[in-house]
Amino acid sequence: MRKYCRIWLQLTRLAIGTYFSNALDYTSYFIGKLVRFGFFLVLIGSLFRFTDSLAGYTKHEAVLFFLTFNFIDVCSQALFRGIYQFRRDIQLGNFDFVLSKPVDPLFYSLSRLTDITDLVFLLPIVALISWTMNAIPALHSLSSILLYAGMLFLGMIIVLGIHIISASVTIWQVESENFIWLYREAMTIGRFPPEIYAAPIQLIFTVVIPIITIVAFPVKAALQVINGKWLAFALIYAVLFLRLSLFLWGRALKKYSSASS
Amino acid sequence: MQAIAVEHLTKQYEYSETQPGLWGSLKGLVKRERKIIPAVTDISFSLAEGELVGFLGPNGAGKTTTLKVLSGILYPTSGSIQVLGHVPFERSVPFRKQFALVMGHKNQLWWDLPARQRIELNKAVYEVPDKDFKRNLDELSELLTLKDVLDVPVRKLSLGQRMKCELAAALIHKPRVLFLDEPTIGLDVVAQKSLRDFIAAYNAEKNTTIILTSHYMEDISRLCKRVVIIDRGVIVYDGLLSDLVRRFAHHKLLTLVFRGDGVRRADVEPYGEVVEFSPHQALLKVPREDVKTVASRILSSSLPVEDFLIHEMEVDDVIRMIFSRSG
Repeated sequence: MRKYCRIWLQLTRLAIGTYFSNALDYTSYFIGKLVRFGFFLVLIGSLFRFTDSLAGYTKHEAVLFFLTFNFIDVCSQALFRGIYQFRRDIQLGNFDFVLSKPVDPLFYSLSRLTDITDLVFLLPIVALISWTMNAIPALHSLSSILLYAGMLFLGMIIVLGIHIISASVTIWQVESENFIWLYREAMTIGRFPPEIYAAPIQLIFTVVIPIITIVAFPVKAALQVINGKWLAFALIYAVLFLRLSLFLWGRALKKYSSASS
Repeated sequence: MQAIAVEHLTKQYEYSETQPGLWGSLKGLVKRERKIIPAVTDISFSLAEGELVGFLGPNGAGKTTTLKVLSGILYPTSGSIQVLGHVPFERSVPFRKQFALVMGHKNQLWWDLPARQRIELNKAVYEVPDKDFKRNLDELSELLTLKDVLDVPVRKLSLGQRMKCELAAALIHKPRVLFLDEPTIGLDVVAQKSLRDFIAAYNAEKNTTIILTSHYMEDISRLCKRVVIIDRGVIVYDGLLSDLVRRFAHHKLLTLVFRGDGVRRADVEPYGEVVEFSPHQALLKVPREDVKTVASRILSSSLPVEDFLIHEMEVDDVIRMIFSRSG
């Protein structure tokens, strides 16, 4: 565990060094993040100003859905950014070096480009989540907070599984990096309460492409508007999904054929 | 103890063939023809601890595939492999801590950052204690003359300097086995020599088992007593470099120097295949078993021979002959 913490810290340092090595490039990149965050704040402001309720939820509850989506989105981008570089590593054969080292290749590949600035943006998001939860009387209990945190954790497990499957697909089909973009696009479904969609769509995005499970379940669990069996479903789903993704990763490594010299 | 033992190793690659053109691409979405290419077929060899062996072969022969199977990067199709008592494709942590892989045409350094930072990452990955790290790095810096280079962004380094940094990063944990895949490729002659000297010194001092692949005969002839020649996935020779010529070269070379007005080409043709000719010098290729007879005939002939030299074919020429024969 300590070894992997040290490696993660070292990789993060290297990633920061890479970002900062080109000041102009990094400045544009950071400004892009600021603009994106700005739009995010504008949308929250608009939700507060122009809505009283959304799909049966109060404006604070609706905002909590949006904030939860952003929290998961930022966390996964910050922690698993390495996946966006993975295809290049496979094509160039640099993944060979990862496989030859005494470190879990999956951990290394996902962590090699941790974006610390994304993690910095998490601070205002967490602050807004705290403020919003404080404004919702139903959430003033330890059980609500624990349910929220627990379901958030399960959501991140599923997100991790999606990234692992994306990496596996990249090994199998070197040309493909579209899987991860499919996930990124699908995640936008989770910005708002799922009740705004028709029931069949809700089912698809709960079971087949588990976006609602990832993003909406934490809020619904905190508000205690979700059945206990759905919470159990989320737990089993997260565990099985992660196991499936790790199985696929193991199979992919056996199929790995490296790049020609 | 055998550091490396390979028995009946076979590795095949599977790939999907796509037809050319738009229709071919569309068809490829639904159905693709799967093909199998054999990369190495039933090869066996072993290395004792501390050996430095050259792995020779033309492009596509299977050298790099063999190294990658030995490193555990690729799974073999069949066969048994042991490196330091471990099965490489099981990728156990104790195994991966004991070897290093350096590839001349790929690099593990981070382009925008100094090599030192990558080496420090390897320290964490290989769990090298602080004291050992400092000592190893100082030693490698001195052997590879890296003192002024470790803190320069890699993109500013020359190819030779980058290669040295790659070696430092690979050797920081003092591996017992080192796989070098064309480490001198693209380097100038000075950098090549510098790297060769380092490899020889490192092997002698640390008793590291080394497999070296290279297209430069100078690397092989200077560093390796033993060579394994692989061609189209099959080992065609495994033995001493010094025996290679005797085994494959069925001819010897005769250099004749003539005095006075010299000779005509037709005068020397009866004695062997003329490789090079000028009126005062000729190089003949003569079957090995006929050398004594031919030499005797030349010396007792009327040819105005001033000097006479019998020598073996060059190793390069023998290897070229082996490859062209197989091709």
